[in-house]
Amino acid sequence: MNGRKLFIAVALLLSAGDGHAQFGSQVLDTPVTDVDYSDRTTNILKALAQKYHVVIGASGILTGADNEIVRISIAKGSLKDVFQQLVEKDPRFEWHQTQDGSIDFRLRGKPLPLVDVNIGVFDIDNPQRSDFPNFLVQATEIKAWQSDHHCLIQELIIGRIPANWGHFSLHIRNQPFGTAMNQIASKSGSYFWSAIQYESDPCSINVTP
Amino acid sequence: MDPAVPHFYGYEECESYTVLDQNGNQIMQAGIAFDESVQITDTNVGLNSYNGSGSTDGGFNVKDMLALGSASAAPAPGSYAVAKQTWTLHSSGATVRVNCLDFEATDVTVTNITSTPTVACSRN
Repeated sequence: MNGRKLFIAVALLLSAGDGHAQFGSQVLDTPVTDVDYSDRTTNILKALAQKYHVVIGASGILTGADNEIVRISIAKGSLKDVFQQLVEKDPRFEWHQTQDGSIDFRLRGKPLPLVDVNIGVFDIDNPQRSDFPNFLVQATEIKAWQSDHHCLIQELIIGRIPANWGHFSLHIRNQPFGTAMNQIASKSGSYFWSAIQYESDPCSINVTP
Repeated sequence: MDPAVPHFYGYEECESYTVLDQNGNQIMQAGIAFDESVQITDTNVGLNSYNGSGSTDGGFNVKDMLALGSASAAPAPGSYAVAKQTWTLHSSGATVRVNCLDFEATDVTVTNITSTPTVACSRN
């Protein structure tokens, strides 16, 4: 263990509020002002999701270094404008709004098939944060897909071990994996999720709620 | 190890910070709150930025955990993530420490860049 030091100086900062996820077509009309990000696309998406309480999922097959910094800037507009500018600046991605109202960003031409695997019936009450994604991988169809594709589906944790999330239930009926992730992101308050296949041999997918 | 995580394959390193005033003297106070922003600038394993918080404990230190791993498998050789970590004083938002973090498959390297906080972080 190393001894390190923090120096106190002077400045000020901002904070964000809590609330429920926005859904429906009007999400795209959400007004935004002074949007200014210079970051990796998935980092920007996570920040947008948590700032505007909009569920956003990002997925695809992305092997090798992901270090492309994208700059987006909108003085006044809507979330739709932000998403449009983001894919213009980072054409690796495309986006659309799903039937459940969330925003689906995918790597163009490199979609992750796992996201569209249909789950017939899946119910869980009070899933534990520490048991993610294992509880979801227990869904029959996901388990079969994982076995068929010899794919490791895991959540790589970086930094601190995440704290548990609040109590919620998940009830999936004939819905794809991506929709299940949208529900987890909404109910847990994380608002953002990503599923990136980062290795082909052996197949490895990092799913973060 | 956090008891909420039954299995964790990878590593977790604890950093401990002392808090100094402008004269370099340690502030002997528990409960000073800090916010943490970790911006992942480069990775090959699909990781995203995250935020956190911490406060001085009974020994007047701030502890930070730096982990990389998962509940099912250790990071594969060659896995990495480079991040810029910024600590701010919760009460004022003042930046008090900036680090480059280089998470490799088996270890993490912390480089203090507080005096040059705008430099880009890269793999060591």
